[in-house]
Amino acid sequence: MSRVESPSGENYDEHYDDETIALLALGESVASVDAGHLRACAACQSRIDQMQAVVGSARAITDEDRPMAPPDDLWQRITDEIESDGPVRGKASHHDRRSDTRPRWAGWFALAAAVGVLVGSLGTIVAMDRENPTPTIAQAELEPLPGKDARGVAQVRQTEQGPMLVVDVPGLPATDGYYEVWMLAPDAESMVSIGVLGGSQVNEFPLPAGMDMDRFPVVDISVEQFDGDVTHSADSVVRGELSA
Amino acid sequence: MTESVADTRGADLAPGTNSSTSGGPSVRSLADADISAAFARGDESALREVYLRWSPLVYTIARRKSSNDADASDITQAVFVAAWQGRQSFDPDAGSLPAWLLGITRRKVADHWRQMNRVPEPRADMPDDPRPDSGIETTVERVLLADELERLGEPQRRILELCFFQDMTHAQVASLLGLPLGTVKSHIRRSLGRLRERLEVDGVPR
Repeated sequence: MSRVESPSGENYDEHYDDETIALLALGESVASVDAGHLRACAACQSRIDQMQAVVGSARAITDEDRPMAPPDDLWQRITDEIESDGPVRGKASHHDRRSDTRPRWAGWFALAAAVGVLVGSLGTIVAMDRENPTPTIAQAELEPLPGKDARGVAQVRQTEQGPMLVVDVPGLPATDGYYEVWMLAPDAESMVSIGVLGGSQVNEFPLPAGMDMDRFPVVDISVEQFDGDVTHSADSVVRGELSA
Repeated sequence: MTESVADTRGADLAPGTNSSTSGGPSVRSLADADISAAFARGDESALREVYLRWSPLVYTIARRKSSNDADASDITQAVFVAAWQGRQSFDPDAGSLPAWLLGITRRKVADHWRQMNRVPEPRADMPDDPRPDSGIETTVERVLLADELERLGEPQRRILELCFFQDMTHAQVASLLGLPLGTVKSHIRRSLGRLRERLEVDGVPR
């Protein structure tokens, strides 16, 4: 064990060394540890907590979690795909659908390309409410971000298939890219991608089971480019916080 | 608590699996950095290296998070095609290449379930947790840790597996393997540190 002096000059006698932390995280009892120090020292407690999280995850490893190589033909499929789409830009390949083994992702890119121009229909979320009376659990007014004009509404509805996010944003301007729907944490530092807006004005997205709406309560729609970058573009158009 | 860190017996126990036999523990990370740099430059041959090195991670996570192996292959394919097409957005200074690849993997798994337009269900042949509908981060963590365990070399890997899965104390492990107590303890300390670092470097969503 080492003696460490805190910045305040207070003498923390016995900060645990890394070995003690490791053993405690594994759940071993370490005869030499000063239990009183642990109660008083948030730093040591936090180091143990962090290591315990690692140990907990590791203990939960099953055989199915052990990395296993993909099937041998997958590399060939990948290079075929890249070559058929051209070496540099490979979006939306409509050509060369040779066989049923064609991977599904080509369709995803085609879909994304198809929403390059968004035209709002006249349907509204309210009309949808009448047609499809599913209980609304939460709702958000989507307000324009600075410099943007569009506004809209988002609702979370309870359906037989589970919770659904319904988004209605009329008047989104045409874009060379596409619009993506996100649910953000209040600080906008972490987020979950919900989906890509389709051509109709009202879009429905099934929410993943276990989606924590308290953690990600903010509905956000961003303009994304076909640049292959999966992260949020930081170019949001509208945003609003869900409330019951 | 002064202990000997030197442990030449470890390398002797399992020649060929200890990292020291391939020139020292830093070889892997250096090689990874080379692959990442070549990939970031758009070097086409680097994609093959990236695939060889990291496709098992991507595929295993996809397998855990899809309904069958064919879907897992499709997801893996989508990840590597998207990675190649989006390679210009990979910034080696912003994080590791595997962290970036796993970011794409998270998205492609989510796309997959959206495409299927239904709620994920557990695989019949993988009844144990985590279910596909539980958080993907749990799976990412476990697969990364399993990968790092395999890379620890011996006897470090065996020591940790006895602690983790057989619930043995370090004293029991030392006695079973015939290693000094201090050696086992320092292996545990360093190996747990490596596992934690692996999650910090590659496990953070990007």
